[in-house]
Amino acid sequence: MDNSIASLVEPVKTFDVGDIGKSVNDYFIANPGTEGVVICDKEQPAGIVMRSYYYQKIGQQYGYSLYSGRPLALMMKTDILILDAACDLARFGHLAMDRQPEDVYDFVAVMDNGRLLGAVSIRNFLVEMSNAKEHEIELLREHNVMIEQARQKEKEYLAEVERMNRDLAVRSDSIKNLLDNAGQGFLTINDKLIVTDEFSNECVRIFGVQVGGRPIASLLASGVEKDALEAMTDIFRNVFSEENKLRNKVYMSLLPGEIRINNRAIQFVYKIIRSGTEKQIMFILTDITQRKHLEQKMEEEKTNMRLAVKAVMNKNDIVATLQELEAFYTKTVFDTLAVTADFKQALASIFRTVHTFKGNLAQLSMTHTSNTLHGIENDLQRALDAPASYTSEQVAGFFRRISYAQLVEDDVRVITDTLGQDYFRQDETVAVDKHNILAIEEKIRSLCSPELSARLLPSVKKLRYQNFKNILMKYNEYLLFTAEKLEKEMNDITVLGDDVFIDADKYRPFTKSLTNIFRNIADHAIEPPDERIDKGKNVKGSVTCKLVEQEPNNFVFSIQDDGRGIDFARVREKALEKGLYSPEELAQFSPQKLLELVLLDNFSTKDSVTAISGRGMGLSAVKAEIEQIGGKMEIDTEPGAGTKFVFRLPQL
Amino acid sequence: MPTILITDDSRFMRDNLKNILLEAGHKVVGEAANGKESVELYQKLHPDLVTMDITMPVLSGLDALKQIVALDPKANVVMVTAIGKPEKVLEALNAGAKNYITKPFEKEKVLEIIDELLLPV
Repeated sequence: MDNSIASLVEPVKTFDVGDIGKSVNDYFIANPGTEGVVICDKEQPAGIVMRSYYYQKIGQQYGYSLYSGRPLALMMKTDILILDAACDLARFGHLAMDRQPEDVYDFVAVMDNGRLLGAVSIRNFLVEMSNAKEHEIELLREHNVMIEQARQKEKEYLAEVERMNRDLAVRSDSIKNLLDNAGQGFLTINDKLIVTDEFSNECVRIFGVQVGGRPIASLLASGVEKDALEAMTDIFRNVFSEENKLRNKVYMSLLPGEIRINNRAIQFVYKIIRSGTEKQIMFILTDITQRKHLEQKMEEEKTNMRLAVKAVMNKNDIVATLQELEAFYTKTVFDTLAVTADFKQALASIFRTVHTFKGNLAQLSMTHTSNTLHGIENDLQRALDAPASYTSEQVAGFFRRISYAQLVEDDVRVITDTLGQDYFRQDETVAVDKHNILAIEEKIRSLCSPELSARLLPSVKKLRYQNFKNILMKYNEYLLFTAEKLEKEMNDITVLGDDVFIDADKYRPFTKSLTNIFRNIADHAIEPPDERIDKGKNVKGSVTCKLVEQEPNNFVFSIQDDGRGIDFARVREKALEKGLYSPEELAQFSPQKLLELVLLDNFSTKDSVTAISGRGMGLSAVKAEIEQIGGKMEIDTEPGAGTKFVFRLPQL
Repeated sequence: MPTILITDDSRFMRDNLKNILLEAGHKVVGEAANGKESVELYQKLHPDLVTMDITMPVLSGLDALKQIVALDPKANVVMVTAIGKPEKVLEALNAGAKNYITKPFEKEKVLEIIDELLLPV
């Protein structure tokens, strides 16, 4: 692809700033494919008038009479982007997309040697760019944003059109003009289900015939199957005869949103229009063939991402459903047909099972498989409708046409491509590389709408979470090793209670500081073996951790040892020695207050400074870290029997 | 608190729907695996709302709907149906179903439909 924008420049119709609005009006009507025109002042571009902008202007009250006879200088947009033909595509894209949302689809005027060469249409630019593989995804994303904005604009615009349509008793020429040039079809039907005379020209283009006075059903017949058409007719009748608005809404929601007419994809939007006691249904028709093509790719990526997320979150369901499906698809179907004497009954049972699988697979985002089953279900439905004209061999043939492997191939490939070949190994847990998860998060952010991202991302983020129990268990080795160096004996740590999943990165400084607790237990709390035997305790010391999840956003865990407990007399002595409080003050202290002293900096009741437990910095460090993340710690001790640390933490 | 009866022949679907309803604080008083069970449970439990799968063994959702509406013309029955079957839904609406949920369902949509029917207007 050429790197400059020159190849995208198209000649553009120009008007002089002095020309009147009507001249542009005439030009737009005569050239319905034109997106906009450039307005020049002494042959230099001074502004532009885009089609949609023009019709918005004249759509305002008195707009037509205000602008049609006056110079274009009054109505044109002067804040326009003018670039040189040598400008490269990347820079062009950056500048063009960096405009205000309402300007983003405006022409960019292009100059060559000081003369106006022509204009670049953003639509052409996007088509050109989306051909370039390396920019594809990025562009689709931007395009999506623009489509969203364009849709928003379109919605506001439609609301405006609709309002005018209602308010004006007599439709003036300019409104008719507006409707005809909006690039969309508008038509209304009356309670006889006949198209009224109020329709826009675009409808004629879409249907290829004059639509006024025709029954709506005859216009739709080519694009809708007979049953569905009857259903639509039934719905229209119901809407006309029913006054309850909720009922109307429920019925209208059953109408198809898209119908293929003359080989184009047409989007259908339906609105109930009330004027006085009279009710009409308005159809707003948009040709979305082009847009669909661009969106399809993105939609596919989104579906695949959704499947990947489900695959990780609901692995057991996916594996179990596929196993059941395989058994049914490769065996049960044929058994049922062979064994069940009543053919119709066998057929009905198979139909129900296929239907259930279809639904369950769709719920698990395995859309490819679900869609294929939908086709088989249609075949079965036909057989059910006329069982006499089918044999069980023919029905078995529905299932032989596509092998099980082919049936699930696409969805299975999405899973293994994203999560690796190991996914389907019989194992309850999935190990996913952290970078893969980050890549999935990034893709979701770039491809999905903010609303959808907000729903998907928390699930994906949780994949990076760790079970707090595992974090505590990591201290086991350290505890046993430390105890052994001090010639003490200890059991493995016991961890009980809820599985609490946390974003380990956010808690790391705190969880690292827990080393101090376990070191204290090994060094200070647990007695040497002979002392434990004398006291009638198990020769091996024990540590028990317990986790409790507290809704909505907190959790508590405790670390409890069965050591000697904290000696209050030693705490008092130490406090005196350090000159922290007077003997009188200390005598007044409650046990709880004394325990708080233990958490102070530089407070250690162990007589000697050892290599292992250092200088009593330990507990105060834990306290500082937990407070840093908005948590609290408490100590409870029973002299001779043990100490319990309780930590209350927020979910970060 | 309004009470809800779930009807679906797939346990997976029942669980899915139940989780959505329970999470939102609704009270699920019963689960039926086919239309017949649903009608029986309806008579016994008098739930404020019934969700009704359409394709089920023994007694289909449409037949169960008709029986329930015959017993209680004010019954709130919401059909649960695979996407792309407007004819079946239409038949159910004409037979007295109040609304419908399409599978695969999304939590927000399910709750919106249920709340619309259960909240006093």
